[in-house]
Amino acid sequence: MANRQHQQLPYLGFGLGLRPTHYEYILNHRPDVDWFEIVSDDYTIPGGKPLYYLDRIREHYPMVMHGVSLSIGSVDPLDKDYLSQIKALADRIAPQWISDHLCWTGVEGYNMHDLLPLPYTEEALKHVVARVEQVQDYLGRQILLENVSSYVSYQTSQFTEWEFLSAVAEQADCLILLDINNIYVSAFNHHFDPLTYLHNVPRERVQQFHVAGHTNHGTHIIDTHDEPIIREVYDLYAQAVAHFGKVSTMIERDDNIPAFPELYAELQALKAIAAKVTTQAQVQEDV
Amino acid sequence: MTDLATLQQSFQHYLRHQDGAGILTEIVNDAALSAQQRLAVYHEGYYLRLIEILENDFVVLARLLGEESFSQMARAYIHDFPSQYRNIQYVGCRLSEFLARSPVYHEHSLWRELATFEWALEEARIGEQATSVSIAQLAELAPDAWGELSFVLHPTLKVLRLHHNAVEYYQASYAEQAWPELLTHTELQACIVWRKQFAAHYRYVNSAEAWMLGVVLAGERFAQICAGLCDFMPEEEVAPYALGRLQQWFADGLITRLCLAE
Repeated sequence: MANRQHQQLPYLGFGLGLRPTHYEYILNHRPDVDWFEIVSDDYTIPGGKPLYYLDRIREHYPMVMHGVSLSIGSVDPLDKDYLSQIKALADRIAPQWISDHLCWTGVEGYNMHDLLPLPYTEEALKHVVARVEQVQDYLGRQILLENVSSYVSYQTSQFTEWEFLSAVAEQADCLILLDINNIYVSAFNHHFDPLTYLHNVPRERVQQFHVAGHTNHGTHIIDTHDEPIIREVYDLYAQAVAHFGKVSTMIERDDNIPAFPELYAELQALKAIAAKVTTQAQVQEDV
Repeated sequence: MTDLATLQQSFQHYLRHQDGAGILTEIVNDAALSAQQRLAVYHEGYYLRLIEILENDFVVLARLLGEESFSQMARAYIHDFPSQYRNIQYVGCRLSEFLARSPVYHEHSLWRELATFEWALEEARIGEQATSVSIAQLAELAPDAWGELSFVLHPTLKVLRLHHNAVEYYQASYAEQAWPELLTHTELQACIVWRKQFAAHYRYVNSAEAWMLGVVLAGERFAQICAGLCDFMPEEEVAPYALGRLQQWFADGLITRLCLAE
């Protein structure tokens, strides 16, 4: 552990993903959103409009960085250039934290630009833990890893997904970004109980929630992030708040992006759920 | 038991080629969805995701080819030139090269030039940041310093040399007009592409201006540039021409620094 800061990260409240279609709206209206999450990769470019708006919006809101290309589970060497771009971006916007996904995105130098699931084996666990430690040492801070949606599981897996995620977090001493929608999607696709997942992740390591929409094809669900959040995912979010307490929460909408007020309304719905669950918990505690 | 490296290679091979030889038996099958169906979600997702990116980066080429032909061409590109980029925004950077090298597509030189042109616009949009200087800085210089003057141009500037009227196809598409008749120029036409503020700009340049830009990029000083322009025009026309081009470059935001000899 070289320079890693190991500080208590703040509770940020309720945020949204920063998307180019909303840049002007945000600057003109300064909506009452607690924070924004950026897709780091959208800003690892030399210049242009995205970086200009990023700097302007950062002046008014806390931000966190969320990457899609770390490929922490790949057997390819870690991409030092990519890591240095992430570090440079972090130096530029001073994010509250940096996250990516517990997955791999390609091997042999190729990038499939997808969040591909890992086999949950001892070998993969050891491999990922070593790489998370390398990344954390390089960035000088703990990172958050997010559970991905998946459509396959492997014959060779020795752990459940939640056991694997928890083991990575404990052994590499990293934090968890729990995507509530991804748990719902994977639970549907692999026939497990999403509550079992929620209840078996180390509470003290969960730093952030993602909530999103998806597309249900009947036989399986695809994590498209292009639809409003469905009732079942709101319900699962309520269960997550009941179990984990106050956790920074954001809506991740990546496609078919609606006008800002529509996402804002969804965020208010999440806020109301969290408030209700927290109040109920308080009442029970008082009784 | 398959090791992690072999499993990832087999999975990636399936994504690219839909060949399940190494991976199919590794995937859990169930009554709701077979291993093949599950893998197909990833295979289709891989191509569809990247085709969508290419449609957004090559809007006019996609319109010219039509949805089905573009999708077929894009699929072949993704297959033959798998992305080696961390950032998905660069996935289209070799499309023009693919179109030049593919036995199926190399005869379609207009498509290739349109791809080159649209990619140059895309690169300009996300290219390196630089602040343009105003023509007022030039006016501040003593006249005898001009000969030793050199210029730093905007880092996004690119000079394209086009065989066809790809630029007119681009303009027709955005003006929602009929496609123009395909023209093949007797001499290559130079077209410059760069970013001003946040927008990509382009315009044709004649052979003298294209030459000027080339030598300015190579760091030549103003006196040498003027001497070289004598090959393009009578000597008495050189000074007004060079000044006129400089004024245009300042207006275009192409000049980011004036450099004087030490």
